[in-house]
Amino acid sequence: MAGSCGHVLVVDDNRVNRLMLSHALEAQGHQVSTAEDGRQALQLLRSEQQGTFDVILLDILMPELDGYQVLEQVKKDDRLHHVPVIMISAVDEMDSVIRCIEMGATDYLPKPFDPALLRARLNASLAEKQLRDLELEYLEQVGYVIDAAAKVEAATFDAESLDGVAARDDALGQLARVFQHMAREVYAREQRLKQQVQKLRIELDQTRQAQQVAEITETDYFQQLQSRAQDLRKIIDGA
Amino acid sequence: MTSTGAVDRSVSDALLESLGGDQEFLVELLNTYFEDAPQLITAMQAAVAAGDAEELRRAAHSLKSTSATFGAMDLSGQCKVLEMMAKSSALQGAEAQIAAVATEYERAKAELETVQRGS
Repeated sequence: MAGSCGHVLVVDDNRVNRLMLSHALEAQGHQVSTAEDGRQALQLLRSEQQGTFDVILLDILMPELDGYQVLEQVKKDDRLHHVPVIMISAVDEMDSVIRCIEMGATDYLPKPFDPALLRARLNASLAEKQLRDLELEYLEQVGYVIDAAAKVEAATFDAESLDGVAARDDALGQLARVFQHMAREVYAREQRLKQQVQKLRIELDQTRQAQQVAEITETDYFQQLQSRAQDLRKIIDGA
Repeated sequence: MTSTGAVDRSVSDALLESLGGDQEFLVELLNTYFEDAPQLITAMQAAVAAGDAEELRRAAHSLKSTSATFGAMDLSGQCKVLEMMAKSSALQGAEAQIAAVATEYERAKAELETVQRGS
């Protein structure tokens, strides 16, 4: 099965091992970063590149921080604990491997390295990571829809804020599209009502003006003035 | 040159095959090994002098692992003895064992140089 590519962090104090692993991983299409001890590995994992690593290949015996300590730190870190860790171990280190798996390591890779085994174990871990990433993204987008529901109720919802979720082709995407449709419908109805109100207001003003005119023209005083004006016009015409 | 027995050629051949027959990369790996192995032996000597069993274990473990990668199985075995001594903090006799490692390394290196030349 062909696997997808990812960003792999190789942590090993042995240069030959780092070179061999990097060479094999790059040949398989992965992006590779290396650290020569545990401290350097944690710095890389927590640097700006944080979150960009898809798998960690971790040696056990190292200076500074060893593999156990790095694994412990990774598993304690909310932003790193989901990154799969594959332990690199010699065949006679099974006790250490078991301890690491109990601490949360995903798998182990025996030394000397077998490229086919490396590929298989890495692909399995990458698939697991990708599934986890999808799950996290889904939960995040469910959060957006819940937030949108509250905003719809408060009449502060902006339909475009759900564009990302609405692009999904699953049930969540459909729900987001329903929200967007509802919000756009409500907006269009609001606009139509505003226009009708405006029209009614104009008609009301015109009726009121006509009424005022009628009120004036129907008074006795106005009638007298009108009659006097007619008389004056006759005099002027006769002169 | 015939094999001296210091290197299991089936291992070094399998390594080259796993590298896709990339002799140039094998040369680079061996050059790295030739640079690092003497440093690891020096680190072992320093660790014994300082009574630092953990550092001795780490250096012996590292040389054991890479030596096995290239097929230097006797050297790897000598390193493993040293690693076990360090693991149980039994440093008596460690100096003599490091000397044995150094001697075996020279033997392995000579044969690995022929592997490097592809002969």
